[in-house]
Amino acid sequence: AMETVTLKSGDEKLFQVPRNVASKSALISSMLETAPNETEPIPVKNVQSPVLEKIIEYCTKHANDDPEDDEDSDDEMDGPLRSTDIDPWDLKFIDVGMEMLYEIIMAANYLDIKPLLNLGCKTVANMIKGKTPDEIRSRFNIPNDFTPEEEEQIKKENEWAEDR
Amino acid sequence: MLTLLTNWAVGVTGLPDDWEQVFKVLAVYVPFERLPLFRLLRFLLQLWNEEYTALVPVWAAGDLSGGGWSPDDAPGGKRSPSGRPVGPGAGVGEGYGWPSPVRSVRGKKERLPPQVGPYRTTYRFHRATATIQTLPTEVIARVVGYLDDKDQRTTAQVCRQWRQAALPIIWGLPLVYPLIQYPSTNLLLLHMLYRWMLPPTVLRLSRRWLRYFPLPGARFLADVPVLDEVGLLRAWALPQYGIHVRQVDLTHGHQWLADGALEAITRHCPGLQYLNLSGCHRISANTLQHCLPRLPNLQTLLLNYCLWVDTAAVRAALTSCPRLQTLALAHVTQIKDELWSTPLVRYPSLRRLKIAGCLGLTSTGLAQLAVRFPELRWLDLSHLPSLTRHDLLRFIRHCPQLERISLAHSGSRHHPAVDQLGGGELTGIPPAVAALLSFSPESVNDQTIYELVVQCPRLQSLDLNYVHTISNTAIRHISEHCHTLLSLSIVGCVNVDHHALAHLARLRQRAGRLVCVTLGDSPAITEESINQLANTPDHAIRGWQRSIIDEQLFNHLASDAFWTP
Repeated sequence: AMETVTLKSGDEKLFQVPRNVASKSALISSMLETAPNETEPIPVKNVQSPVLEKIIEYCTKHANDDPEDDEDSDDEMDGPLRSTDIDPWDLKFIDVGMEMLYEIIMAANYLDIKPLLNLGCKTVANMIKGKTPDEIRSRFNIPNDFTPEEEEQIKKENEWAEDR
Repeated sequence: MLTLLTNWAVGVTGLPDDWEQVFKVLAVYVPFERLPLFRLLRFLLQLWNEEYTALVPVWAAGDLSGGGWSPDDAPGGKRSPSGRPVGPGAGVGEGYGWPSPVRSVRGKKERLPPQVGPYRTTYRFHRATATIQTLPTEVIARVVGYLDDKDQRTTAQVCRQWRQAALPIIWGLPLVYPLIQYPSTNLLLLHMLYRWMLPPTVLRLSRRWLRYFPLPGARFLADVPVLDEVGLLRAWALPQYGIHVRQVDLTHGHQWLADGALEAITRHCPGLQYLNLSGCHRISANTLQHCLPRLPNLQTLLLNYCLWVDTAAVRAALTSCPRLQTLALAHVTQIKDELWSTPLVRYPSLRRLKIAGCLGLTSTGLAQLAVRFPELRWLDLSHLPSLTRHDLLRFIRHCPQLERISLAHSGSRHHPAVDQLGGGELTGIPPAVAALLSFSPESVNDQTIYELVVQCPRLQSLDLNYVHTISNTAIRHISEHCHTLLSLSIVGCVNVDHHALAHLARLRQRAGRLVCVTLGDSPAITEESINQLANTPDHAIRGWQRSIIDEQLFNHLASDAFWTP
């Protein structure tokens, strides 16, 4: 039988997942390493159950990916040229509300799931492309927290950038 | 195992909130020094699970498979890809620790992702709803990494956090952001970093790695990577970017920052307004003297603990930087009286002066100083054992605008520093008399405080820590006359007891401005007396704590911005 581990989400729900699926998370993987015979559920306090469900979905789909590929996706993001290059399944998977997207990114960052983190970041990057600072602020609902003095300075810097 | 130990340590200390204590207990059993760096960080992350705050440098997290961190794995090494320097600085990479921005992978050329430096990561999962602002900076940096040059520059203009994430990528620099800029930074975390992480890191680092060393206090737009003379020019591309730099903070750069670095900074950053060289002991006074005229806009110069700073250097600073507002010379013992024997020149631009612990100054020098800075707002005379009440009153007469005065540890013959320097000579009174009186009769006393509060109508902050010669009477004078007072510190004033608290309560009731009283280290004011007062129906005193009563206001008070006119 396949070895399983139990994950406990922030809202105390339990998830039984195969060990290789859970090990997609470097955090859980290192926890399992330090205590291989642990039978207690692993608390994932920072992640609520709906998000954890999504993450398990992703990990299950990608459980049998070559870890080398993960390495690749981390170390060789290929710069801007291929940032739109998202696998169709992933594209459908990440087609969620903004809040869920942020939750997934934060959870992926916390659990240290590199490919998922990259997927989330690519998605956000795609939303930023070609926009002005103001458009970005309103798209993501970010307040402008520069002082007028700083804005002046940034403007100067940009003049420099354009001159080049 | 670690978790078990931690739980146990929490149990032992009984202070689950005080992580420092927990850690001290833990440190006895866990050989932190020998743990590989990433395991240590991983452990810290687990430890802070509850608080959702952790420091996970990306270079450490990215190397989970390996056996710890080594310089080769770090940015610029063989494993991790490097930055994509933009602009004229890009070319200098080869052969100076900056790998080529393009490398060949599987036979084809590929652009490499921008380098993401170590960041402080904050997990803020407590929020009810996630927004993009809940994402840690390191994640934003990752997002920025997927954009092209133009979009990267755009992201740098969105907000502070994004700018912080984007700038290093735009510049192709593995910048390390200062840890101390976050007020919430966990004390323990800092403790950990300095105790275990940084020293071995430094030891293992060759010169070029020094660039990755975080600088406490570096500021927005002037985030300075650590610099040695060569690195300064090459890696930071100072000739290109220096013109924009306004603030340079090189605190604790003592090990590696030498004359060349100061030369380069002053040559390439003519717009500098803030320069902090505190504790940099490898710079020479001569260099400072001929570098300062290049900085006509300099407003703040901090030279605390710079033992090389001499009289001439200070004079050069004052004459060559006409806009200088803040000058800090704490514990610069080379400054002598003769500095001020030059013809009388007033420096009306100077607002803040710190000469704490300048043991080379005597009454003569202090008297000269008082005349020269008529517009002083903030004066720090702490740790001057020879300070007499005449010195203080002279300052007050000549600087009527004073808002903040610090006299901590002043005027006491029994300060250890006095003994070091030969004791009684400094006070200028016969040793026999001095021995009879435990303090110099010329020390600051209650009457001095009275004159001080009467003559400083704008006084907002007064630090009297360990001024043993004042009593309740002084506090009464303060409470009766000093209606502008925001903050008072009387730690270690042994002659001040709980009656003083009642005086202060009345002041607060009357003027309502006093937000912070710092007490402690005095047998005369006990926990009970504070509690007793706190329980009285007197609203003013309710809620006062042993030390700081309104932390937010206190921070505001202590902040630089507050003291900048």
